[in-house]
Parts: sequence; structure tokens; C-alpha cells
Amino acid sequence: MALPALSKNFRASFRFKLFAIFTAVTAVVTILFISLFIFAEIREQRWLAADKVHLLAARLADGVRLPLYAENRDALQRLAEETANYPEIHAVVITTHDGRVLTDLHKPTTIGLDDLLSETVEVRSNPLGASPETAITSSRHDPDATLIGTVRLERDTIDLKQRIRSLVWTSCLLALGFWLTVSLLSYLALRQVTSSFNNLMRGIQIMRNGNYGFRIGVEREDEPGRAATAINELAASLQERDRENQHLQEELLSAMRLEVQEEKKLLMAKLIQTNRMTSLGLLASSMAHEINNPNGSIRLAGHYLNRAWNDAMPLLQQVAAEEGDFNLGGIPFSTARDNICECCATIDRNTDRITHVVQDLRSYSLGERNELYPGVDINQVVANALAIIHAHGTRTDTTISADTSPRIPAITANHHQLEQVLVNLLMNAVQAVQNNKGGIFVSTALNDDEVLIIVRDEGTGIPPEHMERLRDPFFSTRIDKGGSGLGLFVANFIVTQHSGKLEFVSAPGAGTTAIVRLPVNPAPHT
Amino acid sequence: MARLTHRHSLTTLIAFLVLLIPCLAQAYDVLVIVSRRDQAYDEVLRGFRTPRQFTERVVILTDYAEADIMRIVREDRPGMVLALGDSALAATRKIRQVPIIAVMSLGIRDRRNALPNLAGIDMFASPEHYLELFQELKKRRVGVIHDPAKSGWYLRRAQQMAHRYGIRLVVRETPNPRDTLDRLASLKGEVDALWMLPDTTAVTRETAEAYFVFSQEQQVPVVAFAGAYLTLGAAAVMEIDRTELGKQAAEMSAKVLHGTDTAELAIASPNKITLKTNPSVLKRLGIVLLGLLDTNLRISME
Ligand SMILES: Nc1ncnc2c1ncn2[C@@H]1O[C@H](COP(=O)(O)OP(=O)(O)OP(=O)(O)O)[C@@H](O)[C@H]1O
Ligand SMILES: [Mg+2]
Repeated sequence: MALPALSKNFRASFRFKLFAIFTAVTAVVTILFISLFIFAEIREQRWLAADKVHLLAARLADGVRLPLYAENRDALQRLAEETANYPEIHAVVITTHDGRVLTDLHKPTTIGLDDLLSETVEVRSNPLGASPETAITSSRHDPDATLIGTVRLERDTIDLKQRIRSLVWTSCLLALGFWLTVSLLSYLALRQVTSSFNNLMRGIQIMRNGNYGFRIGVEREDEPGRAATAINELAASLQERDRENQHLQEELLSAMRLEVQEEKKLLMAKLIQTNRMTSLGLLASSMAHEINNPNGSIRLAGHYLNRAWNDAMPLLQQVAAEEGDFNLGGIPFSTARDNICECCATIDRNTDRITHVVQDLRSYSLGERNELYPGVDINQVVANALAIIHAHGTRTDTTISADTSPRIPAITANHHQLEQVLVNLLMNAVQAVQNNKGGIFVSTALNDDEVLIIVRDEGTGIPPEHMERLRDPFFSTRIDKGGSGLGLFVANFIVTQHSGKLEFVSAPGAGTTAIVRLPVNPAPHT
Repeated sequence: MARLTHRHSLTTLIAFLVLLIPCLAQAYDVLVIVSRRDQAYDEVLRGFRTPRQFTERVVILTDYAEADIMRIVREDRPGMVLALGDSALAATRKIRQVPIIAVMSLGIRDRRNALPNLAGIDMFASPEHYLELFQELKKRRVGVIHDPAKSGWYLRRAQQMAHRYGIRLVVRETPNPRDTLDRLASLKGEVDALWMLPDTTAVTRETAEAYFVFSQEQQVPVVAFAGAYLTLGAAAVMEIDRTELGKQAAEMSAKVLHGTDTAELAIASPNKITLKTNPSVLKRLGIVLLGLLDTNLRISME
């Protein structure tokens, strides 16, 4: 299973490719050179053989000159035999110049004529041998040496073939040996050279599997070694980056967790606040009941006292007229008479007011506020809101100036809700001017078919970046001071319910103007 | 028109010259026929010209494809013909009226019988020179191979003189060149020295070598007639001085031109002979030339 994969891996490796190329090239070159060598050697051998035959023939030709001239067959035979003693000489034929064969020596043989190397040499008179005619002039002039005859030698090529065969074998064996040696040496050299490559590859493989901590061992300062160094540096920087990433991620996570916690805390605070408001509503409702009863009793008692005073008055006047003035509760009757009437009226008026306040409180907390009723007097709404603010017990140093326009028509609205809007706006104004000791101005106006309620303060003002978010729920800069960030959200919601608009004009340090625009005849709102 | 006149005058000029040349040529004494351009013949001619001033015309045979000597002789009518070399001699074979003197030729004696108008100097140095040398070398038995037809007369003279020098000539006769080797073989152990004659049967281009092979095998010196053989292995040669030969021919020519009949003039032997030796061959054969002492010593024998 692992073996084929391993061999495939090996075949794909740099080392194997180099080795294969090298051995192939060496083999080709070796074969080429050996072939060239063999061919050259064969030619050389043939040439040498031919040359030797020629030399032998020339020697014989030289030796037989005189016997051949004298046609001494015995001497010729002897000389021919001498030459034929050479094992490779197959035949010696000596012929006179006119073609008569004087000696014909053929060794018994089985080889064909094709395998014979034949050499014929002419036997000529000695070139130095001068005839008397030329000798007496002792001139170098000598007509061509005369032809005496020819000598033909035949050489068989069996030994030549054997020699060539053995030469081919030896050459091939040598070439094989050479090739094997070179291949082995090249393999060793390649292994040495590519070991750093393999080392490098192994290292890269390990890094690819994600282990950036691994470092490739650098054995030599060659190219792979330098590459390994570079890769090591790369891995180190990758590792560093990785670590940084992890760190950042952790930081981000913790930051997010922190933020969520903070948010949660805020949300919880807001929920608690809301919850408290709900309980406050319930408390107010039960309180109203508890107040209503004694108040009713006081009112009834007041009525009774008034009626009783009215009944007692003529009697007392008669007494006074009869008996003169007398003190009543430390005050002379003439003064007290009016005071008591006044007191009765006060009791009546105040109990009525308590009844109203309690009723308001009840309806406020019971949430009867969704319906719009016609004939709502905006100025009254402003007055009620101011009353609530005053009742809330504002600081004495903050003055709220009201400037209501008498031309405001009655509109269709829910006056509880509008009061809530105004209270919220006024509360914000009060909170904004607390440190600055500025004024707060409330005014109403009629603009075409719109009724405007303007609450202006000389407080801190709103930074531009907050302007957009004012109407968002839970947006508040006063969370720590008990703000919930729902005031303007609710106000905006109510104004929108009335088909109106809530606008702000403000700059930091220049105070804030909040404008509520309400249509005189609101379109039916879905 | 003008061209015609031109051609006409040219033809006239050529005709005049052709007629004039024989008239001018008639003035010379000797028609010299030379076998070929060769320094040896130049030396002879130089000798020939030294003592007397003959008017002459020189024809070198190898300069012509086929020189018509007969026509030249007929037209020029020279006083005599001097033939240098064998082929020059052969070219004169049909000349009958004009006396011929031949030098540097081996076949003078053969022709002499057929041509009475032929005289000359042959290439056989007097036998005494050789015999003296053999005596000096202390070689008693001297082998000679010859063709009786060619050098029988010379050998007879030599044999007559030999006993005077205490020398025995071992003679082998060879009728054709091929037998020379056989005859040489038969001399093995029989001789102390070999005498090579200017005999064209006994010595040929093919067989000359055999003498020196014999000399080497038998350790006997060869004495030859021309310097060319020294290089082949001759111990000594009796070379004819070619300039002297020319002078000798000039004397002879003077006689002929003064009216001496060629028939009266015998075929002469060369006057001046030079002995040349091959010192290394002598050394090898253990020979010291006492009287002649040094190598290459020239001795003049007149
Ligand atoms: N008149 C103003 N002057 C300055 N800042 C204001 C004014 N009105 C509103 N703001 C800013 O708008 C924010 C949102 O007001 P909003 O009434 O909705 O919430 P709150 O007053 O903070 O809390 P809540 O009204 O529920 O008690 C305030 O926290 C405040 O920063
Ligand atoms: Mg608020």
C-alpha cells in the first residue's frame, strides 16, 4: 500500500529526475563515444591489416626482385614460403611481368573469397640500380624502373574479425563499467546535493500542515540552505502574526463581553426604573383611593360647615348687633365673618382640587390616554404641565416663564398625553439649566393651521452628534442620574400619534429650543 | 586591297628567310647530336670546345618528337657529326657521307663494323688500370661476367695482360641478362674480387644490384666503371674524366676535319681515368689502399 505511493513520490522527486536525466545522458554519451571509438578502431584495424599486408608484399617484392628476374623458381618458392609463415597470410602469388605465374602458394582454407584482403605489389628494378648507359653519365636521369613482375598477397580476415569482436566486447564492458561508476558517483553526489532540498521540502510539508513552530535545519550555505533560512524567517513571522491575531481576537472577545455586560447592566437599570414607575403607578392608584375617602369626608364636612355657617350667620349678626362686637377664634366677628366664609370656600376649593389631582393621578397611572378628544385647550395643557413641574418641587433658582397666546383654538387631542409631552420637555429643560442658572421659557402660538408649543431653555445645549439620536429609545446622557432615555422617545411617539412633529434647535452652550407642532384638525391617525 | 599587299609581302619575307637559312647554316663544321639534356654531356661539350673553336650546331634529340637528322645533314652539310650518347649514335645510323665521331656511347664497336665513317672513343678504360688496382688490392682471383659479343675483345686484352700482374681472371660468359644471376652464383667462393664491365648484357638495371648483393654475401669488393655504382656498394670505380673525353674528341674531330679518313682512326680508349672509392665499403671489407692511401684520391693514369 505504502510502497507504490513511496515509489511514486520518489519518481516525482527532484533527485530522481536529475538522476534519471544524468544517467540517461551519460548512457547516450557513453554509447555515442563507444560507437565512435569502435568504428574508428575497426577502421584503424582494417587499415593496419591492409598496411601490414602491403608492407609484407612490398618486402617480398623487394626480396624477390633478383630471383624473379632470373626466374629462379626455387628461390621464389622459398621466399614465398617465408612470407606465408605469417599465420594470417593465406596466399602468395608471384607473377612475371608478362603474366606467367611462377609461384602460387595457397594455404588450405575454408573461408570464402569475400573475407580475403588482397594486395598486389609490382616488382620493379632497383631504382638505384643503374644500367651502364645511365651509369656512365652518372646522371640522376633514370627512366621509370622497369617492371619485373608482381607479387600478390592474400590475407584472411578471421583474426581481424575475432579481434574486432573482442574489441567490441571489451569496449562495451568498459562502457558499462564507466556508466555504472559515473551513475553511482552521480547518485552519491546528487544525494549529497539534494539532501538539503529534501530537507527543505520536508520542512515545508510540515509547515503546510500548520506547524509554524517547526524550523528547517540549515546544513549548508547553498541555495536550498538560503531558501530554508528564508522560509524559516517566513514561518517565524507567520507564527508571530498568528499569535497577534489570537491576542487581538481574545481582546475583541473580552471587549465585546464587557460591552454586552455594560449594555445589560444599563438595560437592567432601565428595566428596574420602568418597573419602579409601574409600581409607582400602582402606589399612586391605591394612594388615590386612600386620599379620596378622607377627602370626601373633608369635603362633606366643609359643605356642612358652610351651610351651618350660613345658617348661623344671621344669628351671630343679630348677636353682634345686639351685644356688640365679639371675638371669634381670636379675631373680631366682623373680620372673622368673612374669613370663615373664605375658609369654607377654600376647603371646598381645595378638596375639589385634591379630588381632581387624585383623579388625574389615577387616570395617569391607569393609562387612560389613547383616545383623542375634541376641545382640548392647549394653554390649559401648558398650565397643567407647569403645575405638575411646580408640584414636582423644582429648584427655587429656576424660573419658568410662560407666555401663552389667547388666540389658540381648541384642538382634538389627548390632553393627558400632551401634558406628558410637555412635562418631559420641561423636565429636560430644567435638567439642562440646573448648572447654568439660565431661564426657561414656555410659549404657545398659532401658525396657519398649526398650534406650536415652544419650550426654550438657556441650558447646556445639545452637541451636534447627539441631535440625530435624541428620539432613539434609551439614548440618554443622564443614565447615572436616573435618566432612562425614554422621555423624548415617548414624547416623539405621542406627537406623531397626534400627526404632529417634534423639532429641536440647539447648539452646545447656546441652549435648546424644542418645538411641538400640532395640526388644528388632525388627520385621522391609524 | 591594302591587306592583300600586306599578306603578299609577308609571304615573300618567309620565302626569303627559308632560302637564306640553309645558306647561313652551311658555314658550320660540326653537327653535335646530343641524346638528351644532361650535365654529363655538357661536361663533354665543354671539353670539346676548350682546345679548338669549331663552328657547330647542336641538336638535342629529346627536344624533338622525332628529329630528322638525315634531313639536317643533307641540308646543312656539316663537316662532321659528333654524337653524344647511345641514342645520338643510333640517330646517325643512316648517315654515310659525313664522318661521325661518337663518344659517351657503349655500342660504338658494334656499329663500327657496319659504318666505316664512324670513329670515336669508347667507354672501356684500359684494362691495365683495373689490373693495377686489383694488384694493389691484392686480389688474385677476379671474377668477370661478360657477353662475348659485346666485350669479348676487351676481355681478350685483359686476359693477355692479367698474368703480368699475377692475376687470374675467372670468366663467366652470359648470352642474356637473365643468366647473369646464375653466373654470379656460380662464382661463389671462386673469386676474391668482382670486375664489373660496361657490358650492357652482363650489367643491366635489374642485375646491377646482384653484383653488390654478391659482394656483400661473399665479402669481395666490386670494382666498376662509373661513379653511380659507388652509391650502390662498389668498393672502387674507374671513372672516365668527361671533360678530358671532350678534349680527346676535339683532337679527333680536328683530324677528321683536316681530311683524315675515319677508317684510319681506330676507336680510341679514353685518356684520363679517375679512381674513386667508397671508403665505408672498403672499411667494411677490411681493405686499406696503401699506395692510393686516402679515400676519394684522384689518380691520373695517362
Ligand atoms: N433641553 C435640553 N437641553 C440639553 N439636553 C437635552 C435637552 N433635552 C434633551 N436633552 C438630551 O437628550 C437626552 C434624552 O432626553 P430624554 O428625555 O429622552 O431622556 P432623559 O431626560 O435623559 O431621561 P428621562 O427623561 O427618561 O428621565 C437627555 O439625556 C439629554 O442629554
Ligand atoms: Mg427627559
